[in-house]
Parts: sequence; C-alpha cells; structure tokens
Amino acid sequence: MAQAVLTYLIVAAAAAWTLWSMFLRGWVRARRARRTADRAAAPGCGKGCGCAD
Amino acid sequence: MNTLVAPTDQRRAQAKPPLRVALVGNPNSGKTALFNALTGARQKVANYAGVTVERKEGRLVAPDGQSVVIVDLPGTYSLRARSPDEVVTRDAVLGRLAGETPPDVVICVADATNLRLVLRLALELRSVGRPVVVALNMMDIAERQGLVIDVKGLSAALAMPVVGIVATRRRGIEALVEAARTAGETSAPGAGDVWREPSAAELRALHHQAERILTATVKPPKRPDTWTGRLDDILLHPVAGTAILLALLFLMFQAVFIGAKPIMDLISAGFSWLSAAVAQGLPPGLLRSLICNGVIAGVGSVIVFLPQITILFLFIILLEDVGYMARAAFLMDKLMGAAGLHGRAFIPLLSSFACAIPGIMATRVIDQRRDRLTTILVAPLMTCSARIPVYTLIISAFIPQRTVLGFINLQGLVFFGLYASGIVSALLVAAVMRRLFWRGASEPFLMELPAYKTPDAMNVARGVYQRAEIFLKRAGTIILSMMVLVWFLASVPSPPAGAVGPAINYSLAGLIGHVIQPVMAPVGFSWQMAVALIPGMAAREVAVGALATVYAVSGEGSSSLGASLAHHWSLASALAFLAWYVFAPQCASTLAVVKRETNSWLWPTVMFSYMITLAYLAAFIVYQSAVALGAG
Repeated sequence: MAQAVLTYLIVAAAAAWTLWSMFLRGWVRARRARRTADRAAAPGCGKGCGCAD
Repeated sequence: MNTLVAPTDQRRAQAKPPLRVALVGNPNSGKTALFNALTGARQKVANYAGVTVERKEGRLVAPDGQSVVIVDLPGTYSLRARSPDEVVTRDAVLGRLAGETPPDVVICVADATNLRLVLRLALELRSVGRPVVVALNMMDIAERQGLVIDVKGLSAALAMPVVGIVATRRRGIEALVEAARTAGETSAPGAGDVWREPSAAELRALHHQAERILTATVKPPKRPDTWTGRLDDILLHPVAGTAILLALLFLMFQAVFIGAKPIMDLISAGFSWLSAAVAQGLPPGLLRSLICNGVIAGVGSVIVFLPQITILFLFIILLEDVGYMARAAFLMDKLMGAAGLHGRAFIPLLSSFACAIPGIMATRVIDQRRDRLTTILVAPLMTCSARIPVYTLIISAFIPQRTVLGFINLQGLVFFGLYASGIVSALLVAAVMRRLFWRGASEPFLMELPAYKTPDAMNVARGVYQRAEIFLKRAGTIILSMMVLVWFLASVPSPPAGAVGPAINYSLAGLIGHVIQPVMAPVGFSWQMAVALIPGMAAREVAVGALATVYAVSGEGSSSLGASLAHHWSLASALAFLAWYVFAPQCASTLAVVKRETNSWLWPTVMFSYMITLAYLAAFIVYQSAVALGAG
C-alpha cells in the first residue's frame, strides 16, 4: 500500500513538473519580462522603477 | 569569483564600491575568451529583460579587494546598431538599457591582427563620454605574423589607454584590470546622455581617422604570413577545399561511432547492474517497476549516448577554435547563396547542429527579415544533438558493424548520410521558401577570416563540458519526468482478470497506440512506435527512453533496447523511423522559440505543417520502397 502511494506521488510530481517546465514557466517569464519592459518605458526617474517623478 | 592576485589589503577593499566594466568589440575578437580569463568559471548567463539576447555577467576581485563586475556584450562593428544584438550593446554602453546599471568603464576588445574596423568602433565609443580602455587581444599571433604595433602611439592617437593581452593565456590581464580601474576613477555620471547616432558622413570621417591612426601606428610584417596564406590557398580552394571539408565531416562521424563504443558499452553495463541491484533490493510491485522499467530503463537508454555527443562536440569546438569554421562558412557561402540563404545564416545553421534553439536565436545577426525567416524555418532540419540517440540506436540495431571498401565503417557512413540529408533538405526547403514567399536577391555578405591558431585546451574542455552538462541536465529533468509519465501510461490500468497477452496491451499507452496506429500503418510504424512519438514531442531523444520503457514494461525487452528493436521491427520500419526523424518537428521548445522570435503564431504553424508533411512523406516513400525491395 505504502509503495503504491509513493509511486503515485512520484507520478503526480512528474506530471506537475512537466506541466510547469513545458508550458507555465515560459508564460510566467514572458509576463515578467513584458512588465519590466513596460515599467522601463513608463515616465519616471529613469531607473525603471515605475515611479512618475 | 575569480581572484587575480591573492588579496593583500582586504581592509581598504570593502570601502571601494564595485566597478562595472562592459566588454565591447567586433565579433570574433576574443571577447568571450577575455571574459572567461577575467571571471573564471563563475558566470551568470541569462537574457536581457524583454528581449532574448543573451546576457553574461561575471565578477573578479582586484588585488586590493575591490569587486569588479564584468558584463560581456554582444559583438558589434558600430554603435549605429542594426540587429537586436547590436541594439543591446549600444543601449548598454549608453546606459539606456532597462534594468541595467550603466557601466563605469568600457573595455574595447580588439583583435591585434585585424585592427581596421575596431579602431573606428573605439573612436565611436570615445564619443559616448565614458572611460574606454582598448584591450589589444591576440598579441602573440600579431607578433608571430610580424606585425609591429606602436602601443604607446596608438594610445596617444586614440586618447585612451591601450593594453596588449593574450586572453587565452591570461597574459596582460592584470595590467588590463589595473588600467580599467584607473580609468574608472574618472567616470562621470550622465555620460551617454548627449550621444546621438552618427550620420553616414560622420561614420566615413571616423573611418578615415581610423585608417590614418592605423597607418601611423601599425607596421605590416616585413615578410608576409606565409602559413595562413599557404593553408588558405588549399583550404579555400573551390575543389580541394570542399573535398577537405567533406573529408573532415566524414572523419568526424566515423570517430563518433568507432571511438564512443567502448564507453557506451560500459555505461550500458552500469545501468544493467543498477537495474538488477534495485530489483534485488525492492519487493515486487509498482515502485520497483517504476524505478527499473521507467526511470533506469528510460533515462539510462538516453544517457548511454553521452560519449557520442561528447566526441561530436569535441570535433566541432576544436575546428572552431583553430579558426577553420570561418573557412567552412566561406566555402559554403556560394552553395547557401544558390539556395537563397544569406551568408550570415551559416553560424545560426551551424549552431543548430547542437540545438535548433540557440541556432534560431542566433538568426538575430541577420538584418533582412526575409533572410532571417528563411533561416529560422530551415534551422530545425539541421541534425541537432537530440537526434543523435535516435539515429545511433536505430543504426546500431539494424546496420551491420562492418567496413565497406576496406576502411569505411558502414554505421558511420549511414550516420554521415543522415546528417547530409538534413543539410540538403534545409537547402532545398530554403530555395522553395524563397520562391514561394520572398523573391529577390539577398544582400552581399562580407566576412573576415581570423588567423589560424593553436586551440586552447581549457577553452575546448569548457565547451565540451558545457554540452555534456546540458545533455545530462535534460536527462535528469525533462527526460526523467517524461519517463515517469510514460511508465504510468504503460502500466495503468492493470489488465483484467484472466487477460492474455502482455499487460501493456490493456494500458492507457496501449489504447493510445492502437488508436494512432492506423494513421501510421502506411509508414510502417507499429503501435509501440506510435506511442513513443507522443512524449517525443517534448524532445526528440525522449522517444528512445519511451521505447525502452514500453518494451521493458511489456516484458518484451531483450538484453538491450537495440536487441529488442532488432527483434520486433522490420528493416523497412526502422529505415522509415530514421526518415521520419530527419524531418519531424518533434520539439515543442523549438516551436515556442520560433513563436517568440517571430512574434507570431503564423511561422511556427508554417514550420510544423511543412515538417510533419515532409516527415510523413519521407517515411512513407522509404517504407514502401524498402518493402518493395524485400526489406519488409
């Protein structure tokens, strides 16, 4: 029983990791990069911090 | 962190703020070699925010303990940027790059044997207003060639410090760091704010000024560099040069097969022992099946190809380090031009032999959009390292280990043929794409050939190590997780009571395989092959592990995966599988990178459609022809 539970836990972890590394990670990084670029383009102190001084 | 000299006065050290130094220079000037010499192995590689240009940063500690941050910027000929890489370099130097602290000092890396273009860049950098230090790299080769460089005169003419170095041998590095630190003391905030892009006339004036400085400070050799000239007469000859290039490639693929075998056998035996040990130590059940049939059989069947990948990259990096790859680009330019590919496409296509992803990213050096798109679309046809496990597995299982014509290894010959098929297909597809989408000639391509040099053992070792590390990292991450999932699909649900035949027939994988198999029947693929293609979409080499897992779970595995395949597949099916893999777009990451680089779903869709069509057609033709010839 314990063996079966451990096996299915490993399978679930592998599935979650595959989903994250193949799809979600790229999406999260792209979103973060877009936000950084938007902040840098916004008026402010020029440091890219997003303030409007 | 690299320490130049053992710190002698750490007390003063903490007081000084870190110095930021940017490395700027023409492509092939030895910037990366200098970066490695300055920072050692401690480097951080990432992308610049918002763009996919690689950012390399490292640190060193000066003798008095001051921290020096080194940023290696993409190669450029001018601050009048044209490609995305050049824009990053310009903006970083000007301090206009989002999220980047402006550099205190710029080190302009110059190839001492070829100063013509870099002097103009140095003059352009001077106009930015930041302190600039010129690093005259490859001074040893310049001396050997008989070039006499008046370093003091050059420094006076450019009005900036000039230091002679040999980056690969770490000669002059300390003097360079000292010069950069001294220059850094004069760094003023706000530099770069007043810079404006020079007009064409201003650039011409700078070019004339650079020419005058060059004439006054560099004396050409009394006797010409006969070695490089004589070698180039042969290596760049249209017939002899091409024959030597083909012979070198041929030798490389022969070495991959002959040299790697003993180590591969050793690794394979190691995994067999491990599997047996685990089977002995664990009670029968799901966990034992997962570890033995899923993890060890799947991941082990991929890792076994590490020696072949290492040998292949050892050859490629050696040829690059010697200076031969630029000659290969020169030889291939005419052929590539006939197919509608720009000369600058050579490096991206060459990078694609390692992996299509850096190859596609390297197309940023191509200015014209149509030239760039053509290169992006054909880059995945070059044989990437992920195909090597698939090719070598099938070749080892089905092509006899014997010699033809007395000295040619037949397996190596077939491997060479598969690589050649990839190159020829890329040229043909490029020619068709240009006719279909973008008619018109490409811009002319100008390239400078570097001097030949003795390869640097550390550089070569580092390059091979990085490739091996990438391969093992993939085996330990994406391949491992996919193997666990393939095992799950191949083991669940359990067969019903009283079922006959292997358990895998009743599993989810069996169900999926049997659904797909009718579509793949005309190309000779069994349901096990069809199942392996699905996880193979994540990365090509996953298919090898998937096949190992499927045969291991079904209990039909022989002593090795190759032996299992030889037992279950016909020669026609095996050849069709090879033909499929020459073209198949079995790499989700490549498609994602194409989307990112082109900023559109259109081009990944075009790429996937044409590649899957070609894969099916090629596999169909090969299978049906082989069956007709009696190999079915």
